[in-house]
Amino acid sequence: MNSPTNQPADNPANDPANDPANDPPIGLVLDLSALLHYAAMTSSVVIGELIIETADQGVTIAIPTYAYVAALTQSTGDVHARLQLLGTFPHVTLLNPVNTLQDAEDLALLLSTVFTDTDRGYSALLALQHDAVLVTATRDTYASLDHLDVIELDG
Amino acid sequence: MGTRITISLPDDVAARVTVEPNQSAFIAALIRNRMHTETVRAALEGAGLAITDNGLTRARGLLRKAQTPRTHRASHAGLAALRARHDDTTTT
Repeated sequence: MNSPTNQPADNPANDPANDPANDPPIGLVLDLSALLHYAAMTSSVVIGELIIETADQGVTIAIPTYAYVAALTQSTGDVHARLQLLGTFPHVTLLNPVNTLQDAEDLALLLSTVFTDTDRGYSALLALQHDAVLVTATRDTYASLDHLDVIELDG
Repeated sequence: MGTRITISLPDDVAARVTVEPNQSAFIAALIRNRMHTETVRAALEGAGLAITDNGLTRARGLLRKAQTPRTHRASHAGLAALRARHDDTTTT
């Protein structure tokens, strides 16, 4: 039984392994179109190899939770299974980019001025928050965003 | 505890390893990373994706090309630009 006040050694927050600052950097963000291209194996631009290379470089792939759920919803069979597989890799993480009022303001701005669909807003916001490279099959839809690095998958 | 082994390394590699305060941990981390990469590759191939050495080279190039400009940027420059756009919109 823990004492009412955790000693430093007992407090998981004091374990360096639990410090978010020690997490591997987020190198890539996959949007819904990238997820569906990966899962359907319709991209000729090395999505599987990108996933392997990020593992080798010790960086993390982030997927907006919204996009992952949307991809699962739209898929069945082997396509669905490949999406599930992607989520099991230790260097792949699901993230919700909207956790503060400022995040909500940023997303609202993206959805009111740049995008017509929610998925791209979440994906762009997540990439901007982490200065990460966005992987998508629809590069043009992100063209108006300054400072956003994009890798485009082709079909 | 682990298994103690003796290995031979090229001189330049050995010189790099010897500057590490914990050489065993350093090497173990590198090998674990390689094992993780191999596991990911095997899983993707098992799921039907065709992984090629040419593809890996191309992916490495794409990542390098996409990431290089970021080293010249202030952190969160993209968010700052986005918010500046909002400020412009609301003040005009």
